[in-house]
Amino acid sequence: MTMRNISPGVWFILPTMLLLAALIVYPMLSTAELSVTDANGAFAGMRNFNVAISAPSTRLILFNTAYYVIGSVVFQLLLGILAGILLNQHFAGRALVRSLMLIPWVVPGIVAAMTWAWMFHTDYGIINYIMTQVGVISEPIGWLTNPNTVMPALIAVNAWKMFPFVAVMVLAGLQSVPEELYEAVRVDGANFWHEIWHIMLPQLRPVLVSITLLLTIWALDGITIIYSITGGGPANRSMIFPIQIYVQAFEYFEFNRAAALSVLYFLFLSVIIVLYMRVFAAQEKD
Amino acid sequence: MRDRRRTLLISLPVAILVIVAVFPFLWMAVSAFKPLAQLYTIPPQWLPDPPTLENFKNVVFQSNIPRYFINSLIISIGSTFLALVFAIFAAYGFARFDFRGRSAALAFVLIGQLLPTATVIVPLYIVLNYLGLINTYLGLILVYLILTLPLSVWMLTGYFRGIPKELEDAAIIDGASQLGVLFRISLPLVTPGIIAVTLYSFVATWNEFVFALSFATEKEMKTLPIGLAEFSTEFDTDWGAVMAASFVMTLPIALIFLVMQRMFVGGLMSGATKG
Amino acid sequence: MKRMTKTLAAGFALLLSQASLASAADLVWWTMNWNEQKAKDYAAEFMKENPDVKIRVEANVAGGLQSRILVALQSGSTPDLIDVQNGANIPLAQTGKLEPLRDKLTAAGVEFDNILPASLDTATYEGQLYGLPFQAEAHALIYNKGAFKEAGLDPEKPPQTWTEFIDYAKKLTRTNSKGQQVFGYGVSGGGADQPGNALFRSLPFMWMNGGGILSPDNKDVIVNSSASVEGVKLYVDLFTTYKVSPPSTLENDSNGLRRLFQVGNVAMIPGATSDIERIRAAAPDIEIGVGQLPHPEGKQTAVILGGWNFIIPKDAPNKEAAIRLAAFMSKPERQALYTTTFPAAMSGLDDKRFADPIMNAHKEMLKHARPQPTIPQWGQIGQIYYNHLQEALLQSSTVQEAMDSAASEIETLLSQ
Repeated sequence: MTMRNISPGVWFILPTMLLLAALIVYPMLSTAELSVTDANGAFAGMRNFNVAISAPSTRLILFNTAYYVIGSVVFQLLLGILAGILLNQHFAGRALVRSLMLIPWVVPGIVAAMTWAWMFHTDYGIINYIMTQVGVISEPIGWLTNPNTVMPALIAVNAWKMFPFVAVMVLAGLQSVPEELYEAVRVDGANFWHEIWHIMLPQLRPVLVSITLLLTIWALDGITIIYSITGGGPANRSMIFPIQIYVQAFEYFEFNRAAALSVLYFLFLSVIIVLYMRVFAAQEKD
Repeated sequence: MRDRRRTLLISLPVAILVIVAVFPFLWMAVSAFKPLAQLYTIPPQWLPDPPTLENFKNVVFQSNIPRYFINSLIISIGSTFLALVFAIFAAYGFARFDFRGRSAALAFVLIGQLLPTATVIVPLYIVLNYLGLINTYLGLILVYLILTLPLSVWMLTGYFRGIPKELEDAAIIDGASQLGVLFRISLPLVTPGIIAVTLYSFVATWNEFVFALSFATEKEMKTLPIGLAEFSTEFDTDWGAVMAASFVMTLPIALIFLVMQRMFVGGLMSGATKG
Repeated sequence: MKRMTKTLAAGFALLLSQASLASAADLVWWTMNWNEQKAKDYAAEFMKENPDVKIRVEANVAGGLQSRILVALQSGSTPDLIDVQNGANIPLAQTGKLEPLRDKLTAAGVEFDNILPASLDTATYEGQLYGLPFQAEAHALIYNKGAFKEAGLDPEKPPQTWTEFIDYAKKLTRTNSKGQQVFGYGVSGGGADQPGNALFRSLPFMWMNGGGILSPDNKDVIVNSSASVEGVKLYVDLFTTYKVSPPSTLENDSNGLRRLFQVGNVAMIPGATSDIERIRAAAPDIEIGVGQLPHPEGKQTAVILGGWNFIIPKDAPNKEAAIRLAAFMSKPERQALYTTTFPAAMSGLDDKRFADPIMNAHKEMLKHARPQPTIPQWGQIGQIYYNHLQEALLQSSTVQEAMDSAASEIETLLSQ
C-alpha cells in the first residue's frame, strides 16, 4: 500500500486522532488494570465488579440515573430548540436577548448549583416565598427534601443550565437553511408551525443527532449539580452512578472499585454509541 | 397583519424564556450588592438596602481573582484555538471523505468522554507529570482538548455536511486544491458553526474545576473556578464575594457574544446558493 | 506572517520557562487557603533559622481537598508537608503512601506529652503515627439568649440533661414577639457537607448513652443496639415527633443551620468556636450563650474530636526538612496562632487568643472529645449510617428499622 492509496480524509483526521490517543490511551489502560486488581496490585478477577454491583442501593441508583439523564436531555432539547428557533426570528432587541439567554450556561456550575439550592430552600428560599405570596401553595414545599420532588427539581436545574447550549447550536444550524425554502412554503400560505415542522426541524436533523448524543454523555458524567445540591440525598433518592464512582474513588479511596464501575460505565456508553451510530448512519445513507 | 400576529407569537415566549434564563442570575447579582446580614433573611429580602460595593472591592483588590482571570483567559483562549484548528481539519475529513474505518474513528473521537472524570484524573496527572506539564499553561490547555475536541469535531462535521457538495466540486474542477477548497469555500460557509463551537470550547474550559484543581497547584497557574472555591473557608463560604466574582466571570462572556453574534446573522448560505 | 510566527515562538518559550520555575529542591507545603498568609510567615521564619531549606507554600481549597491529595499520593509526585482534616488521616495512611513519623519527630524535638491524646489517636493506624495534630476542636451548644428570655427560660442556664433539652427546645419553638417563627433546635439532616455534619451532631448522642456505630475496639457493629437507637431516636424525634427543628431539616448542613440561627429562626445549634465568630460577624445583635452538649441523666457528655493534622508523604522529596518544619510548627505558641479553633498542643490554650470566657464551654467539651473510629472503612460506614438516618428523618422507616438495615450493610462491608 502506497501513500497515494490512503484517502485524503485520513490525513485530515490524523492529527486529532494522534493527540487524543496520546492523552487518553494510558488512562484507559490503567483503569482497565485497576478494575481487575486489588489495592496491592494483585490480580483480583471479577471481585471488584461483584462488590460494586452487589450494593443494596444499586437498583435505585440505576433508576435515578436513567431518570435524570432522560429527563435532562428531553427538557434541554425541548427548551433549547424552542429558544433557538425564537432567537432566529426578527424582533427588536434580538442581539441583547441572544446574549442574555446564554447566561445560565456561562455561570460556573458550582455557583449555579449553590444558587439554586438557596432558591429552593424550604425556609429562606425565594421560590417558596413567591409561590406562597402569590397563593399557589399554602405551605412551603421541601423541593429538595421530598423524595417525589427532588429529582424533578434537579432535572429542572440541569435543563436550565444546558438549554442555551442547545439553542446556540440550533441557531447556528438554522443559518444554513436557505431563505428560498421558507419563501416556497409561504407562497402556499403555510403558517409558522408549518415552517418549524416541515423546514426547520428536518434541516436541523444532523445537528440535533449529534447534540442528543453529546447531551446524553454529559448528563451521565455531570455530577456537579447533584453533588453540590443534595449530595445524592435524601437517603440516596437523588444518587446517580457517576457520583457513586467519584465517591468510591475520592471519599472511600477505593480506586479499584471505582475503576470497575468505570469499566461498566464505559461498556454501557459504548453500546449506546454503537447503536446510535448504526441507527443514524443507516438513515443518513438515503 | 401576518407580521403583527407573528410578533406577538414570538415576543411572549421570548419574554418567558428570558425571565427563566436570567432570574437566578439576577438573584445572584442582587446578592452581590448585599451586606452579609441581608443575605439570608426570612422572608427573603428583594433588594439590598443600602447596596454595598464591599464584595466587589474584596474580589478585585483582596482576592486572587484578577490574577486567575488572566490565567483563565490564556488557558481558555489557547485551548479553544487549538481545538478549533484540530477540529476543522478532522471534521472536514469526516464530512467530505469516505474511507475505511470512518465510523470507528468518529466514535473514537468521543472516547475521552466515555470514562467518568473521576477515573481519568490520576492517570492524566501521571501523563502530565511525565511530560513535565503539571503547573503549566500548556498542560491544562492540552488536557482541555479532551473536553472540547469531541464536541467540536462532531458538530463541525454536521455543519460541513450541510454545505452542498456541488459548490466544492465546482471549485475543484476549476483547479483548486483540497486545502484551498476548505479554506476559501467551505470554511466561510460554516462561520455560524465555528462561532457556536468556539463559544462552547471557551465556556467549557472557562468553568472547568476538577482538572484545574488537580493539575494547577501554584497561584501562577490557577484558574477562576479555583478562585471561587477560595472564598470558602473551613466553616463558611463568603457568599457575597462568590456572587460578585461569578458576576465578574460571567459578564465578559455574555458581552463577547453580544459582539460576536453579529456574525451569526444569516444570509451567508442563501447568498452563496443564490450566487 | 513572519512576525506572527516570531510572536508565537516567543509566547511558547514563555510557557516553557514558566514550567521550569518550580525547582525540585524546594520544600512544598500544602496549606489551606485560609491559612496561606500565616503559613508563608512561618515559612519565612523557618527559612531564616534553616538557610539550607527553601519552602514554597501552596494553598489548597476545601472543595475537593481529599481528591487533590489522593491524586498526588497515587501518582508518586507529592508535596512534602500537607495539612489534612484528622478524619482523613487514617484512610490516607491505609493507602500505604504516608511516612510513619513518631521516632523522627521525637528526635526532632516534638513534645508529644503536650499534644491532646485523642488528637494523636486520629493519626494512629496499626500502632504507627502517621500525622502530627496541630488543631483540635469540639462542638458545644450555641444558643440565642434573646430567644431564651422571650420563652421565659433563664439565659444563663443552658439545658444540661436530655429531659431539660427536649423541654427547652419545645418551649423555644414558638412565634416570637416580632411574629417570626422560631424553632428550638437545628437538626442537620442534609445539604452538601455530608455525611460529616450529620455524623458530628448525632453520633455524640449515641456515645453519651453508651452506644455508638462501632464498639470501642471497632470489631462489632452496635448501631442498632438499644443504647444507640435511643440516641439516634432523640436526634430524629426532635424533627419528626417534637417538631422543634425547622421544615428544611433535610437540606440543612452546618452552614444552613448557622444561617437560620443568624436570622433568629433557630435558637440552639451545636457548633465550634469558629461558628461563634461567624455569627458575631453576620448578626452582631444576637446575644450568644454557649453550654455543654446535653447528656442523658446520670451520664457524661461526649463529642467528636475535630481538627487538622500535618502529614508527610512517603514519596516526598524533602522528607527530612519536612520533619524539621513539622517539629517547628508543633510549638504551642505557633499552633495557637495557626489554628482556626484550638491548638492540639494543649499548653497553647493559655494564649490570650483563647481568653474570652465564651470559649469556656468549648474548652470543657474538648476534655470529653473522642476521635472517630480509626479504621479505613469509616468513610463508607458514615455514609451508610447517614443514608439510613435520612430514611428515619423521612419517616419511611422507624429508627430501629433504619439502624437495623444500617447495621447489616456495615457488617457486609466489614466482612469484605
